[in-house]
Amino acid sequence: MKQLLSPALVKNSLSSHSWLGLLVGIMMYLVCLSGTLAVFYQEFERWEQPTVEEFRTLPSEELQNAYRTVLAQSGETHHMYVSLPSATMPRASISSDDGGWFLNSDGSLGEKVSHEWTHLLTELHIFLHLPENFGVIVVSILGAMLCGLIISGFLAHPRLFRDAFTLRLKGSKHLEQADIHNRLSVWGSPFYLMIAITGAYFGLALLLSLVVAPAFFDGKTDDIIPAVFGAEPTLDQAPHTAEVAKALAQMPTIAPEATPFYITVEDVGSAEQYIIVGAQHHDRLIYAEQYQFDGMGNYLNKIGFSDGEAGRQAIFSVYRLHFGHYGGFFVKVLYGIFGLALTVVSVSGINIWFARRKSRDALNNLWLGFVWGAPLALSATAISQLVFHFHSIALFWFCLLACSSLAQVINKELLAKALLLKLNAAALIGLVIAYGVQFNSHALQLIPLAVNISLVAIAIIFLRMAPSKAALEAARSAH
Amino acid sequence: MTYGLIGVVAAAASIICLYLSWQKRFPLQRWLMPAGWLVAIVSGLFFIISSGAEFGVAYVFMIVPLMAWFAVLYNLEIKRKHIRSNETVNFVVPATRTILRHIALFFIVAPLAGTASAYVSVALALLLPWSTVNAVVLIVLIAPLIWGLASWWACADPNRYRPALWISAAGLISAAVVYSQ
Repeated sequence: MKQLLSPALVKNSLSSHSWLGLLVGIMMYLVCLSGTLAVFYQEFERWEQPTVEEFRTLPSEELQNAYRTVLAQSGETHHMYVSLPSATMPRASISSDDGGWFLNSDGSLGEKVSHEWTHLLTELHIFLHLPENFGVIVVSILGAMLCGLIISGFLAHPRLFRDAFTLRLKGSKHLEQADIHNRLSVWGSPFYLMIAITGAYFGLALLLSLVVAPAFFDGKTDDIIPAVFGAEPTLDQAPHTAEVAKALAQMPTIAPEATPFYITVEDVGSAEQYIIVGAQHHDRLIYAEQYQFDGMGNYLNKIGFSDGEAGRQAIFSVYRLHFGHYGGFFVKVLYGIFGLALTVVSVSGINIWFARRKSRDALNNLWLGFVWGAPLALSATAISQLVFHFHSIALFWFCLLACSSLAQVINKELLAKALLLKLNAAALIGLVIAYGVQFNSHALQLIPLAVNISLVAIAIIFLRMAPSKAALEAARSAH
Repeated sequence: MTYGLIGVVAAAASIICLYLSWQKRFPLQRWLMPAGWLVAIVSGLFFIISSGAEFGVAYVFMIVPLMAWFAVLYNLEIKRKHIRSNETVNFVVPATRTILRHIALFFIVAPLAGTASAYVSVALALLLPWSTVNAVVLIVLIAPLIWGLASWWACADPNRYRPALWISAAGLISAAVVYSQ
């Protein structure tokens, strides 16, 4: 590798890597941190509303009655969405454009669907709490920049194999951060490249449609979606309530190998009303194959995500590939590990830049506060949601600002780090206690218990990471 | 399940080979590196047999790196604690010229490279004898890569004008190809 790359190329690539990293590092950190947690969003949703009844099957008649009830309660709605109980989400819900309700196993309506903290988390990942259309594009651009960082990172690293297994901690800060950054980034690069490309897709597709339309669709952007994701059926029916249960009942015959997990009704109540049943093919990365029915529940066709053109199969595989929702829970755990690694890569990259500087200033403090403030802000918003039923994006950003300001006021790196880590641990323990008080025995169900044990484990890790008194004393005497 | 486990064992074996090769202590170390990569490919084949092509490829790209990280942890070296605190100084706003240079670079890296990569991706896809759906999906998947490549070049080239000019030219030629359809 060293012979292949000239010193000038390595030097210029390193400078390119630094510039790109500093440009996107802060946003990348938030996207990676929230993305790592968002891998487990189904578990967080179950944790947030533990009193919802859980079951694996819902009789057809009960489903149809529940659909009618929710439709009657809703105002004018164009879409209805039915989430069917499955192994990963053993809950059923029906939503209109106004909101949704969980179903009890007898088909009666249960709690309103309300997992605001999980939404705060996923929205941070998807659009950084910016205006949605703009934020999605910004986050997608981070995907493209991550591609640039991976390319420049490899070209800036001539000792790729010589350092392949080297990790030197607690020596000089620069060496430590560089080793962490390089070992996590080099070995994880295939995963990060996949995350970058699939992550860029969600927002860039909007922008690319402006160029794709004149090239392939005579300038008609509206024609792209039907061509790639399948066209709507052309129907002209008398107004009626969609027969969702009838459609679902045919699935074992139409696709015995697939498991239906959602139903959508489009153009509700109109002459064009039609039903889509989304079914998971368990050995495939595609999100679902979509089976279309008319409003009366008569089968029309399938879109072809499972066996259509390669492009159509590939594009519908992006979601599961990006979020790790395939192959079982152990894949989620793997995505959690790799997501955390990419988060650490984002932070250590900026830490390397700080370590190279000969002096420290307010930027060091603000960055430290930002890094350790983000998990604290997530804990604070979760506590606020659980205890006061108050959710606020502003609270998240206020906490981040407060932590950065606190670090600047303290103006001592180790002391600020110790304090923020202890605050993080305290917030997590407080969150678990508040959860136990709020939900009593429901807190002992499998998923809530697993999430709470994980939170306590993270709190212990934070406490272990906090610089000890001896380290603080040593730092003080070094001054 | 059995093939999956064999895949995990093979992934571990591949990293052991690479690790021993890296250590340069083993008499046959010349063969260890190619053997390591070969075994990694074999582990991928076992994952594919076990879980199908799509899941199998995904697994091998996660399990092999995971094993490598275990080897990195095994090789962890804790240095003697060494505290050196940098002098704290007041934050100084960079010179206007520096800020302008960074803003210019930002415009090359983000809007210019982004627009050019969109047109280049579409023009490349037009050259392929693929169906519309496949071409559109290819565009969506290669555009971020081309953008990333252009961003790297824009920042790496010591001559700031050269990448800006070439990226603009590539974008314009591609746009001409796109709008001539």
